[in-house]
Amino acid sequence: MAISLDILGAHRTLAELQQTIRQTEALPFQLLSLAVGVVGGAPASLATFVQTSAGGLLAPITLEEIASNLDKNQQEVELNKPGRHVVCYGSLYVGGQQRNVVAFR
Amino acid sequence: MTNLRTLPSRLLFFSLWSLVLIPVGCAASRQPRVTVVTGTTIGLKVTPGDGQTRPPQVTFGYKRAELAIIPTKGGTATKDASDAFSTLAAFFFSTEWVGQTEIASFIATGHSARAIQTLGQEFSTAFAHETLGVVSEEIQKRRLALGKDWEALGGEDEAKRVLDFAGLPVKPNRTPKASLLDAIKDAQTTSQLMVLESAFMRAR
Repeated sequence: MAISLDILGAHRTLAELQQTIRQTEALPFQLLSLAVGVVGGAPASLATFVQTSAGGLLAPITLEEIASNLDKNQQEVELNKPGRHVVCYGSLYVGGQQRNVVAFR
Repeated sequence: MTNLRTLPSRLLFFSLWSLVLIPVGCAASRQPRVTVVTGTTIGLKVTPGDGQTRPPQVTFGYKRAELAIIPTKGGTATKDASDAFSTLAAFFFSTEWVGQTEIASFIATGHSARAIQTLGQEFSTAFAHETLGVVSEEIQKRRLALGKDWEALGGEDEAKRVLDFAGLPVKPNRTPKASLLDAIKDAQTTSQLMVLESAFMRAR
């Protein structure tokens, strides 16, 4: 299964990033990870997708920011809120600022 | 006659002209100062047509010149301390004919001119270029339709044919089908979509 790496806009809002991922998952792709990294020497919000045959069948992804001033246990509580299937937890640039972001279905 | 297709080369010419003048300005002066000169000329004139008397006419012009004289103490430039000599000038022009028009000019001198060219410096920490963004409903519909075409492909040979018709390569470490699906995802403009749609039609 091929992996695709994409760079998300660093100045996008969380809603725009979520819409971008949803549109990509509507094709036969599935979100694998979100992370801040470096590409060609410049910082970047990186999203990896795996190609899948279940395009459009997955429940839509929701992105939510987790406050960075929360300690480890408080962040765990946020991640374990009932009714969510967490896909990944990482950091992204949101509006140009690095934020903790959880992706769940 | 000047038309839009000639503008990029014209721009390149004037950008080069700007860059050439900078060192000339520096070298020609034996005074302790830096002289920076840039000039830009963009022209477009379309005159044809004369039903009778008044010809239709389109004129688009832009002409500018900048001159900066920067006094210095005349000392040599050093790596970390003094440097008033380094100069960087950049000019950008973009047009979509009558619609969107952009002109941007940038000049940096001294340490700024040096630092902006160095990876990792504070001036060059712009974010990497976005490769995936929100697309319009119309483009998304067309991508989804291409996704369905992709699912209906007979096999790798057929996918390779579509890629060939679209002029796209098979990506390293990926199959033609996987490469083609990536191309569908990456198609975020109508022109990119048209290339893929046409390739699918020809491959059938």
